[in-house]
Amino acid sequence: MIAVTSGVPGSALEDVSRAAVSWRLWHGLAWTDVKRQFYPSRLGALWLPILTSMHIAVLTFIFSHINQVEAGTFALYVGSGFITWQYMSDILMEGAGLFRQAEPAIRNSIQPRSLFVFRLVQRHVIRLGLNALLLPAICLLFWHVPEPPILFLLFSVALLLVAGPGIALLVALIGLRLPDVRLLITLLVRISLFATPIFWLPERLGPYAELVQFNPFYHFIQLVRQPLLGQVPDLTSIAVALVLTVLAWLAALVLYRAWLPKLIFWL
Amino acid sequence: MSAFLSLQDVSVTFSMTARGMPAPSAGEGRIERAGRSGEVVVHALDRVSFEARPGDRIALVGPNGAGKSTLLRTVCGIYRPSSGRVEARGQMGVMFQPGLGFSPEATGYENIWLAGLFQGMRPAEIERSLPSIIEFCDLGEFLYLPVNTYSSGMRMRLTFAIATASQPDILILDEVIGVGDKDFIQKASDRRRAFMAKTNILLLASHSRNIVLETCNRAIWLEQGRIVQDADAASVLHAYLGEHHQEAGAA
Repeated sequence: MIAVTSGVPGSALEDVSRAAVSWRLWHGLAWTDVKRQFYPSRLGALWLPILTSMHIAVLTFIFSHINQVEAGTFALYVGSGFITWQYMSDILMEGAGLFRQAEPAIRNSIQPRSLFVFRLVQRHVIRLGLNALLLPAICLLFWHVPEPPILFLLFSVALLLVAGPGIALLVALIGLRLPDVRLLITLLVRISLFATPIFWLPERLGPYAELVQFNPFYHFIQLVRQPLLGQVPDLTSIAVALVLTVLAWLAALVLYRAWLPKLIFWL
Repeated sequence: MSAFLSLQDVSVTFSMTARGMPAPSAGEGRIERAGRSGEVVVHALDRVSFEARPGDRIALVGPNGAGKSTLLRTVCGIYRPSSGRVEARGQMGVMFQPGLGFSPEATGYENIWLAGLFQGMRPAEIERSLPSIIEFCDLGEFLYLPVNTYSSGMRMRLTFAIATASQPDILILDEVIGVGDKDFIQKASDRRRAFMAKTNILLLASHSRNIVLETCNRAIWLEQGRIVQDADAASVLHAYLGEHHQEAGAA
């Protein structure tokens, strides 16, 4: 039994809600994390969209030729896919090792333990925002005029932001408790770069085209990609992304509730 | 709300397997074999009970591995007791690792905010203490430069100034902050004293006889995770040092 009113939060819900409202702290930490990566370069964090644009340019050049599609639209297709995938894969990869990485801070401070989950997600939200600067740049470059479905992006981005901490907390807990699953997650995420239609078109798979429906990355990417290309996202993608987000949060909270008291002893 | 702290029959155990990574507190208390081969249970704290009320300045004394750090971390909820009850009321401040939340690439100013928030200060509180932090650390325009350009002395002044800026009701310290060169100790001692005096309840683990006698009015002597004696600081220290005289010299 513990009844601390001011130390480490006693319950999982309290822990998560107290962490969530300390946005100044996790945003501040996340922002210094992002800056640290590019310190002491002159351009700083602007290097990130520059690097990403090179990725997108190379992928677009090669695969628009292989797929024999027009480069302008394909650049937007690749750009939206790559940026969204990057956000999710970073959260999964880094989330899986999160608690062990934050061990000194967890052992020496009374901040809610899930603070580090929000810090990690915010770091990638910032990176997502920086990378997203490329999308209007691509539109301008290829004179691509957005159509009304673009408004759907508001929902898509909101869902990505809400899903982030749930997914990160879930993989962080699993990664801590089941180190082998952690390695499996890392492996799957790596493969997903190729297994997800980021720089290739599903219809090219012919009879196997429908296989992409079983790929969770695909649906989240579609939510971002389709509005940019002037389409309202498929109902399937909306439904799958919503259900996955809710399930991730539920599973994360159930596990967190059960494991929070023991978490420190597993580090 | 007045500060209050109570531990009733609190035990903390660490379960470990021979294969698993040993927890940092291994070696504390007693080790016991449990069930399957290779599995051990370390009793870091064994039925510890005490109460603290406003005005209490409690020193935890005991040899290395007696459970002092574990006790401090249990009081503030970092470790959950395996049995027994911990009750704490009041805003809590802990200092186990000064400089936690520091980012070497960020400027001094940015770090005041980060480290301040990290140690649980509210934004308004940080805003209020900015002048005193800035004055104490005496860094001038260096506050606009990244901390990794500072000398170790400058860095220590900043860490110390931030660490002593909060005003919690219950203050929990693992060893006293602010060891440094002679000049710095001189400069820091007033601020440290004021910092520790502001709090309602102080819980301090220390090996230093002088610090304990100077700051505390009560001491708890821990040995193997159990309380040996809980009384006024002078008599506990006398009894403790009597038994561990070889350590007295170092203190």
